[in-house]
Amino acid sequence: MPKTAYYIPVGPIHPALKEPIRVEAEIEGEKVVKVDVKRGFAHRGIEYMGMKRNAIQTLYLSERICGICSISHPYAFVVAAEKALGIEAPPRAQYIRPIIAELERIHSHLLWLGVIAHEMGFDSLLFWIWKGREKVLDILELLTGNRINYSVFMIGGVRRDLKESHIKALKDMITYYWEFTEKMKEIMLSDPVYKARTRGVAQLSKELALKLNVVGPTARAAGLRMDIRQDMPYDAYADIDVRAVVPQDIVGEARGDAYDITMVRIYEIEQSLDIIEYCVDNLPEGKILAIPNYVALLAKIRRTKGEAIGAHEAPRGEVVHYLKFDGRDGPSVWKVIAPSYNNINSWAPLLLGAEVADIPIVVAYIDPCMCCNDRVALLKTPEGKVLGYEYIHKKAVEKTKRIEREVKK
Amino acid sequence: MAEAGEVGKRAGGEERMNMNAEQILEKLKESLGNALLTYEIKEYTMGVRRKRTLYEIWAEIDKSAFRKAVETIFNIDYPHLHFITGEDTGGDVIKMIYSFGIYHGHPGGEISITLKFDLPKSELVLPTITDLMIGAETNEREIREMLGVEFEGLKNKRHLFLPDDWPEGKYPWRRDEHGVDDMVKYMHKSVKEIRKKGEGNA
Amino acid sequence: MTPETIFYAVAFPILGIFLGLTYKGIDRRISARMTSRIGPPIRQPFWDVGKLLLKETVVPENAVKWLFNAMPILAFASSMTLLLYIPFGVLRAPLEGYGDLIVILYLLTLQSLAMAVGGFASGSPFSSVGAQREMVLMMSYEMPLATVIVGFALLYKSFSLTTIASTPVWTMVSPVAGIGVLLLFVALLVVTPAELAKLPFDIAEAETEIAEGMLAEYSGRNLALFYLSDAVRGFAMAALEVVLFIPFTFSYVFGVSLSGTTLYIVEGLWFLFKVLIIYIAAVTVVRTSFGRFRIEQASRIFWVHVNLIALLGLALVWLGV
Repeated sequence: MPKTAYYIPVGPIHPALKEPIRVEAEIEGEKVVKVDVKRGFAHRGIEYMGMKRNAIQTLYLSERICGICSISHPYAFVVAAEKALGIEAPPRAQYIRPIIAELERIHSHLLWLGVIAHEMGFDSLLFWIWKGREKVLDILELLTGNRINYSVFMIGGVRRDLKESHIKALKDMITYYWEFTEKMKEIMLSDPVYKARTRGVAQLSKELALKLNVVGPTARAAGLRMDIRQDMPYDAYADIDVRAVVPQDIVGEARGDAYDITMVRIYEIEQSLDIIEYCVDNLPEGKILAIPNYVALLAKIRRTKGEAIGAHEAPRGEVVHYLKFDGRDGPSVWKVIAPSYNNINSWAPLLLGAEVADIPIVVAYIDPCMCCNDRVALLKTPEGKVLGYEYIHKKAVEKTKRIEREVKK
Repeated sequence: MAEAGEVGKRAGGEERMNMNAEQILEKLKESLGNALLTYEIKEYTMGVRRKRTLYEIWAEIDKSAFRKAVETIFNIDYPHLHFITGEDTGGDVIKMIYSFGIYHGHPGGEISITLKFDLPKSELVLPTITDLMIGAETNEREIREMLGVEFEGLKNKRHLFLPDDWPEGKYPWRRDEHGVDDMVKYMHKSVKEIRKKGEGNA
Repeated sequence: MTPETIFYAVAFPILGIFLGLTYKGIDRRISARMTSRIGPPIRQPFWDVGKLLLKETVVPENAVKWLFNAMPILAFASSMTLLLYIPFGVLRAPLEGYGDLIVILYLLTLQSLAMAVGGFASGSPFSSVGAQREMVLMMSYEMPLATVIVGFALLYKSFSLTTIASTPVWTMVSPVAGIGVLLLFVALLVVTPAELAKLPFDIAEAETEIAEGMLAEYSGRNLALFYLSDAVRGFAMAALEVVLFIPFTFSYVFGVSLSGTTLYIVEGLWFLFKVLIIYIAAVTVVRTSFGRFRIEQASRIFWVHVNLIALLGLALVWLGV
């Protein structure tokens, strides 16, 4: 029999990937027979930077880890910092934080639902869902001033208060999305083409999910009831009794495939709406910052010696931050685990035996976010000498000038 | 290692009685004996209207008992690995930190267990836990390239985040001669400052 | 061959390209409006072709160069030839009498084949997978397509398109055969998106899976030729369906009698209108409302469902004749 295996490189730049990562697949016919995942194309050394800055700078640096989870990382960071410092945010702040976090979950899940539609070539659905996503982005802009990177959290509270007009806008949004999710269930979950493309694709069993250490909707679709908001509740989540959304509660059984994960994400949007509604209705009065003076806050951090783990359930799964304060005004050790860090573990086992057409769905299934997969590029001369920054900068300037001259001619 | 079916049952495990933090600590004491150097149960109160107390176990152990401690945790409940990290304070040891969460899936009942131990820089070798949990491969590979800790039994030793041509003997999280401070000179400087410094060397 | 034929042979392809690109523009615009976008201007495809022609044509290092460069030309030539076999309303086809439905079937296949061969020749794994998929897909949809044509041969006792165009199919069939013809029409409508490599059957060019597949390595002039042949083929396919199934003239439908230049203009516009309707129904609406199938799902759809419909149609036609 002739050798029919092809080697297909997916990434680091590929239409199926929204961020750089590399999947090297060997295929025979349409079946994948060998997989290797290479990460690290966007490593920016953020943890390293954070260990050199003060805590407030690091808080906003953590927001830049990822554009989509731009509230999840600060949330885990402030939870960890508050545990380590022994301070508690005022009740009003503890209710405002989940509102922002749940708004982010809605927009992130809608983003994913659009992307998965695009991956299977259903662009109309992508446009429709992203049109619906604009509403929550507008609300976020109204509440925080930004569509992403909200910069609204602070160690010991939040930086912006909710006004009466905001609450009215939030209520309108909740009504809007209840209708939207109903339509979405009809369009995605009842659609035969969508079902044909996702049923049985990227199927992850409960045991394998546990062993692969996957988190968030990926684990929940496989039937694991894990959700940080339920297991280790914090802030207003402790008042609400959040329960993990798992397929067996919705349709009776969890198969852990791409169809189930779609279902989990759609129902989680509804859960988020409930949480926002509760927080808005029961919003306590009072101040929003425990220590309003940042200089005093930094001084307190400098006096503190201690360590803590903060966890938050981000849209894609749990974000865990480990912090250690040790006489400096910033963390002396900072470890970030983003959900995709664990969820990418599922690619290799899932892709084996899958079809080429399923690669984008498997890849998109966990909603990969390469936020913690950073990049270090080394520029070398042919002799192997590492080039310095000044040299590269000088060369860049020279090239720009040369092009300018050529253009003028 | 627990059988696959048993693992699944434990994760669902509604009818199973869970141990509380003290009982878990007793179990650790029992199996580790003198190797359990210090321990503490941290309590955090969360919530505004309905206060809930969350428990975390922080234990400092001897390096030799590491594998035993991990196996004890796996015997209590199949855990979820939160993270593995290490701290290099510049001395002769690296402080390794392993954090597990057990009893996830129980509302308000997840208990996190954090194991800490000193690893001498002269002998940076640890047994792998990938045989217990496949997913730990990512974490171990990251620690291997960031701190230079070798894992015995780790199959895939390719670089994870760092490029394949990363220089030997450089570990970004180290704060000694193996660190990368000489490679990241201009992290906080603006282009203007660098320009003012003049033409650089190649 | 009369001078008239030669004039047509020159004018038709130019007209064909113009109409093909215009229809493509309309298709993109309507699809955009259906998904609440503004969409590109209708003349956007013309700009696209112009821009592609200005771009550098890159040939990959490990491609079979002559094959790689020849295939776009072959595809373009076959779609141009295809156009010459299609009667424009009351105008007769320029190549009338030189071939029939069988030739059209082959010309349609030739283009897909040219793209597949070009894909294999480009030496990229993405193109190879795309070409493999195209071959599988072709084998799946050729059968219903052939069945439709056999059905017509059975009705008219001839493969000639002129004969078919001269007598509307619906006027010469019994009720039973009428249902058969209707089923054949449905089968052909389902085959259309596959034939034109449009969603939900654009499996061979799946952007997110294999990065445009067969076309992954094509650029510049070569890509422009494929683009043009695709546009022309879209128009020709819709026109063919109009000729076969909706042959009613303007005068017949509205009961007016026209003559001279007015007849040609009105009938010409009426024909274009009918083609547009078919184009929107079989291409625009379908590609906007479906996601992509997997290759084995698409194959099953054609081999089982569409084949059943087509064969049932054929049987009814055979009974009714």
